[in-house]
Amino acid sequence: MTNFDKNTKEYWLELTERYFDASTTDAEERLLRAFAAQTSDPDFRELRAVMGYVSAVRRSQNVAAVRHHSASLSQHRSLRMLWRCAAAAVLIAAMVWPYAMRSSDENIAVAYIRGEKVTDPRIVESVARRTIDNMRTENMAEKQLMQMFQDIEELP
Amino acid sequence: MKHYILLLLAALCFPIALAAQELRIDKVLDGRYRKNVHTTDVIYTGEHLSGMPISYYHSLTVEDDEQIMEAVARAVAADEKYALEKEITRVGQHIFFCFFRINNYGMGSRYIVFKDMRYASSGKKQQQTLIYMESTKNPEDVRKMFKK
Repeated sequence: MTNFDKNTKEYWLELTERYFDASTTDAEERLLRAFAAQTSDPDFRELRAVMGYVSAVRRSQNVAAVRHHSASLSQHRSLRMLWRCAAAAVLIAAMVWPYAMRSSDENIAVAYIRGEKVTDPRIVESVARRTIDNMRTENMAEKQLMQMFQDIEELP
Repeated sequence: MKHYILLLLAALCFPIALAAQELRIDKVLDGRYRKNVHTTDVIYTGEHLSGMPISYYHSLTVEDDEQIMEAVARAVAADEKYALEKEITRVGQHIFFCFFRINNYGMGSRYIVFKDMRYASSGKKQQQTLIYMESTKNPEDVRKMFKK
C-alpha cells in the first residue's frame, strides 16, 4: 500500500501501458493487479476491466480445475463402483456356482443295480419309487413296534 | 481397494467353506459302490421328478455287505449334527430310522432318509437304504413322502 503512495500516477500509467504491451515482469504484474484492485481512478478503468477479466479467467480456470478435480473424483468413484460391482458379481457367482454345477446334472436317470448300469428312465423311476415306498410303509410299522417295545422297557 | 480385495477373497473362499461343510454321506454316495453286486445306486433328477416335491434324488441300498453297511451307518450318524430338523428311531446306539433336514444355503433343504433293517424289531435282514434328496418345496411335503 505504502509502496503505491511512493509512486506517481505517471508511473502506474506507464506500467499499465507496458502491461498492455506485454512487456511487464511477473512481479510488476502482481504490483499492477494490487494497484488496480484499490484504485478508483477512471484512467485505470480499462486496466481494472482487463485485470478483472483476467481474474475472472483465472477464477474460471480455478472453477475448471475444480471441475476437473470433481471429474477425476467422479471417475475414481466410478472405478470404486466398478470394483464393487465386480466384487458383488464374483460373490454371487461363487454362491451360485455350486448349485449351477448341481443343476447341470438335471434330468439324470441312472441306476446301478447290483453293479449293472441301467439308464432306462422307466426302470430307474420304478426302482426309486419302490425304494421310497419301502421306506414309507415298513418304516411306520417298524416305528410303531419299536415305540411299543420302548414303552414296555420303560415300565417299572 | 483393500476392502474390495478382502471381499473378493471372501467370495472366493465361500465355495471352500461350503466344501468344508460337505456331508459325510457324500463319501458313500460318490459312486465308489456302484460296481458292487451288493448295492443299488440310483440317481434321479430334474424333470423325471415332476410330481414329487424334490429336485434331486440319490439312493443307495446295500444288502449283505457288512463293511459297506457300517460305513454308511457311520456316515449317517456323523451327519446328524448338521440336521436342522431330525426324527430318529434308535435301537440301542444304532440308528434304525432317521429323517434329517439340512440347510442348503438358501436353496431350500437337503434331506437324508435312512433305514437300517439290521435293527428292525421284526423281519430283520441284512439290508439298509440311504436316500439323499434336495428340495425347495415345503419340508412338510417332503416328509409326507415317507408317511403313509
